[in-house]
Amino acid sequence: MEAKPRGMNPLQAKLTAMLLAGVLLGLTIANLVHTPPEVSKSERRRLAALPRFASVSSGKLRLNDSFAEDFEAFAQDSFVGRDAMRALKAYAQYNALRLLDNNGLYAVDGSLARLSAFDAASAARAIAKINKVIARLPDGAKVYMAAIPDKGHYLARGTAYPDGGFGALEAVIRENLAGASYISLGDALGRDSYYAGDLHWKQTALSPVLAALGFAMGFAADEDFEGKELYPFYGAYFGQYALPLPGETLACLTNDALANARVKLLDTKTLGMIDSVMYDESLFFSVDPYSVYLSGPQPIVTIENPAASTDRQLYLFRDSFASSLAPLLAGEYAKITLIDLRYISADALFKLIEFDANADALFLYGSLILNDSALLLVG
Amino acid sequence: MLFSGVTFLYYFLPAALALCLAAPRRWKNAALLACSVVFYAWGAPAYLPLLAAETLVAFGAGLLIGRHRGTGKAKLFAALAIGLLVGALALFKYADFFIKAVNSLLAPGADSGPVPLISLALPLGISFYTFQLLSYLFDVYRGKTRAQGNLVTFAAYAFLYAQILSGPIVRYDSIAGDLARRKQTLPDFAAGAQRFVLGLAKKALLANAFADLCAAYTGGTERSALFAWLYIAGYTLRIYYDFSGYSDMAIGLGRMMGFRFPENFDYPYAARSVTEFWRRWHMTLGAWFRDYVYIPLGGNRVSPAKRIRNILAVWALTGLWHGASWNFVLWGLYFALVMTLEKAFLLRALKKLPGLVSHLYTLLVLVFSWCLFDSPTLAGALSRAGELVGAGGIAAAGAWSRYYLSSYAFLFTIGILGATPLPKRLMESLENALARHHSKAGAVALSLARPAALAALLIISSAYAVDGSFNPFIYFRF
Repeated sequence: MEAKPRGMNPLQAKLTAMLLAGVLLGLTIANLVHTPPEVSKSERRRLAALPRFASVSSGKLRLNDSFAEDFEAFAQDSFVGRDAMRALKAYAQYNALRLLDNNGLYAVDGSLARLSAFDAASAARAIAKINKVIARLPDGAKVYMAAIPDKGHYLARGTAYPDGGFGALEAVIRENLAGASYISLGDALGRDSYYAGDLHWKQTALSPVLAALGFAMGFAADEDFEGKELYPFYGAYFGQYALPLPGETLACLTNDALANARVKLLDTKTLGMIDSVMYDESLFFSVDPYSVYLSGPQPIVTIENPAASTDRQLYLFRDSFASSLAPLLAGEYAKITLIDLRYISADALFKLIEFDANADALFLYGSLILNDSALLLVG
Repeated sequence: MLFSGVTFLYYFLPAALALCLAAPRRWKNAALLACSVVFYAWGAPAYLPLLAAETLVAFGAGLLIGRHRGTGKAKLFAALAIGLLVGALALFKYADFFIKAVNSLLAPGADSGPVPLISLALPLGISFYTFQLLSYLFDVYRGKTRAQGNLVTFAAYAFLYAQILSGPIVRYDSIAGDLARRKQTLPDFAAGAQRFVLGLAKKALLANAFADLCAAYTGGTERSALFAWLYIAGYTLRIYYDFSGYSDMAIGLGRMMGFRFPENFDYPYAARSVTEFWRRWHMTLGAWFRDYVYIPLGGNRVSPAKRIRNILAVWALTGLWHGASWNFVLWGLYFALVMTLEKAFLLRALKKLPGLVSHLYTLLVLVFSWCLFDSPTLAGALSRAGELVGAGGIAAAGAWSRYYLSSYAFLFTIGILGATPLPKRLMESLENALARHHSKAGAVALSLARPAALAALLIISSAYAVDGSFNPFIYFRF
């Protein structure tokens, strides 16, 4: 019969039994004695904890129905040398099985991207949601939209990888967008505009983006910035990739005018605005170092710049990409209000903010968000 | 609990092996039973009483049949116990299927019919353990085996964790001797561990990768002939590595504990006819239906009309055994038709054809059968089969199918070669060549290479378990 092993000689049998039992027992004992971390920094998530078999609620003993699944999640997450095991799997996946991706992640010349299938229906739903928001903005506001290509759009060129369908996404936007002008950023970016180990763009690579936006929206962006560099930056894909890659440099651009800008965040408890900073370097060592820019995921952020070249206002409907772009626009707008509809619903937003009819509005979203329309909290 | 999961590999298995191997001889079955109860209860505690009740029914009936063998009472006890076991299987697995069929007759086209559905969850492994208990009752009734008088020993057989969820279907008489007095030797442990690791690698490295490809097709938006072929080729290999991997692990576990389970696979995709395929695929199920359905119905030694009836009965039941849906019934009848044609004339014709042609014929028949097997509806199966030939004006290929073709080219090569006896023959040739040299260094290298390779496979497969998502064995749902 097929896998029925051929007879072993006595030494082979002894070695096989000893080695396999040794691996099983050794790793079992190691798992039992080691204390797993609560958070995986490389995977940017809280690891599963040992589940309770049962709990007492209202004096009644309740068994945990999902104990078996929860325990498997705990066993995986708390496995001794988890990162090394993930690296081994990734190595086997790419090099032994010769698969071109691992958990949907792939590398081209040391730069990482995630396989992403274009979902035309989701994109159409996202644009319909954006149209609803545009319809609630005051008449007179100049409204623009720009989609940011996923890095895979550039990385996949000349390779076997699918490009994520950015061209098809733009076609859906142009066909469905109502009440806004579409600004294409496809030619303003390239594979080097993004961090190798992260999905985000580099702040230092945004001059062509500023130029494209400025051309359409009527401003000439300041290009006189000096940067502070933070190192080593390990992006979101870096940890998921599991194999070693060099750290990168995260730049925070500023100039004299920006230095006096005031940044405020929405306090979700009091619904008041509280003081913050443009670049919070303490967050560089957090789970998401890209949060250095405008404190990362926030429902509403404002940047007021008394030294701006105009007194215009900009409402920037955005995702995380805009966190690094907005500081560079602050020279052109006296006030920029960044709104992340993933963290505040449109209904709550319009109760909270009275929109200025003379302002500009820019909807700036990465293609991954537009491909997952459920993330936008627009009813 | 999945054999390929971290919980099994690094919590349950070491503890179970230690307990079962270290237990004194008279406590070995009790230790095995305790481990098996924990194993079964881990995944399906709610159905533990059902399994226990069925075990008690079979145990008690076995004793009564044995005591009254040759009398009408034995027949009565056998009929009652078999009726109860089959009734439980019918209730949990088939009740809703038959209710839906009745409803569709009483209220054609309506969303719901006059008879309400029962909506019972399927107890894990019910098809496998029911068939094992039935075989025990049949064999005791026929006098082929003696009734087991020790409840713990019998329950250790009924609950045996190594194969309760997905087989092989182990008949009581084949391991009665091992249950009574099994030898646990180092060579057996090593051979069993080797078999277990090979099965684990089949599942973790190959079956799950092909499962990802199938999921990319079913969850994706591209519809092209190339993607349909990649999916069905991937599914063909996935189901083989998934199920044969599980069987290898089960057989390996059994051997580590001193049991010899029957083989379940013998390079089925190397078959040159569908008849031969079914002698090599899920062999314990085929043998079960042969011995307990086909032969009692008269087998081949009846008129041609009755022979066709017998084939239809066996294959309709085989289809239904796999799942309570018309897809599976049709899947079974599809094989009944093909095998009837093969018996009538195709086998003779195939023998005259070059081997490559008969292989291709067999694989094509199987590929279309897997379309039926893996589709939730008949319409879905026909749609998938249609995509294989480009029906509906779909594209020949798209960006995603071209990507997956590039990505999986090497894995398909490994998968296809691994489904043939070639790797085993190559390994044997290599070991023989090394052994012929009679050098000390060669002997040491030979002794070290296999254990080292197996340890590496175990560690790599464990890495896949640590970084894997929940990926149950296909045959768990049967």
